[in-house]
Amino acid sequence: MTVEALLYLSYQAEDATFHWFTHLFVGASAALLVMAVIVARTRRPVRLPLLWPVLGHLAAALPDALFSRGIAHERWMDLFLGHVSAHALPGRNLSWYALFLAVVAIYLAALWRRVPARP
Amino acid sequence: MRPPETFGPPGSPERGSGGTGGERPREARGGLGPRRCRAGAALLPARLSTGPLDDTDLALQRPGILDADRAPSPAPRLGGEISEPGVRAVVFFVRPMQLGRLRRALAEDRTLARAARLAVVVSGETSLRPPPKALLVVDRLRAFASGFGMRAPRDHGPPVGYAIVDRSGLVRYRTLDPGVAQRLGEVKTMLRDTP
Repeated sequence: MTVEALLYLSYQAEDATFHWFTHLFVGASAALLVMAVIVARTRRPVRLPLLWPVLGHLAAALPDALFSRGIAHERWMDLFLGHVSAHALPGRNLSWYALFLAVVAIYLAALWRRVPARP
Repeated sequence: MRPPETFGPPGSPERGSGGTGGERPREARGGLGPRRCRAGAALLPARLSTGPLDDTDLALQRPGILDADRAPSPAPRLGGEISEPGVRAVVFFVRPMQLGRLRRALAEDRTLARAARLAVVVSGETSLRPPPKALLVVDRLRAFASGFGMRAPRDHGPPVGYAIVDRSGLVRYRTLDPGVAQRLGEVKTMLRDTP
């Protein structure tokens, strides 16, 4: 939460909170998908579940850190979870938000299906 | 169509404060419908942080990449040495009340004018002098704003932002940016990337 708060403040200082949300939803969704696959295959919850979405967000937002260092965005930066193309999704952040909620549901479904109830 | 006026060399006295341009009045909450509020409650902070001078599509505001939403297009000729082949140019678009702040920022900056020709397109009459080493153009009918492909802000008024023209005279970057006077470093970042 502290990392996310610091990230948010850094985007807010640049009048760019819209982009914070975009990369949060993209990064966290990618992380949750990976977590869901791991849960489905191992039948165990992942360790440090809150850390994964944060790492996903950091990966998705890395080009913005480069931008603040004076490096403009390039198309190859889509390697960072579609950093550039993510903004082209119709519906913008509302669509990413809906996708994020869907992925959360997928992850929770994977948890409930695969994790045996404890005695 | 009435042609835009081009101001000559600095000479007229600067009057008025004119320095409130970068401040962004908060958008009224009434603009958000109840259904949208419920669906995107998590997005509310970002929504509330937008102002009337922001782009209606925030994904297109300060994208940080050349040719973000459209192919390069020839830049309109502003006069002077702006838009001449072989020279990069930064064309700022402001409203009269933002000119004072931009003028001060450009006066304090030492590198931007060396890297590119500068022009400031103002959407209305102003008594302020042109920024140093910059061409000042009055564009009441938004002919230049339209020619450079500047998008209209949320209040449907004249744009506040900038466009970057490459050495071949093509507009490669255009964005609304109500706080551009505080973000000349970002302008330089995009200019460095412009051929």
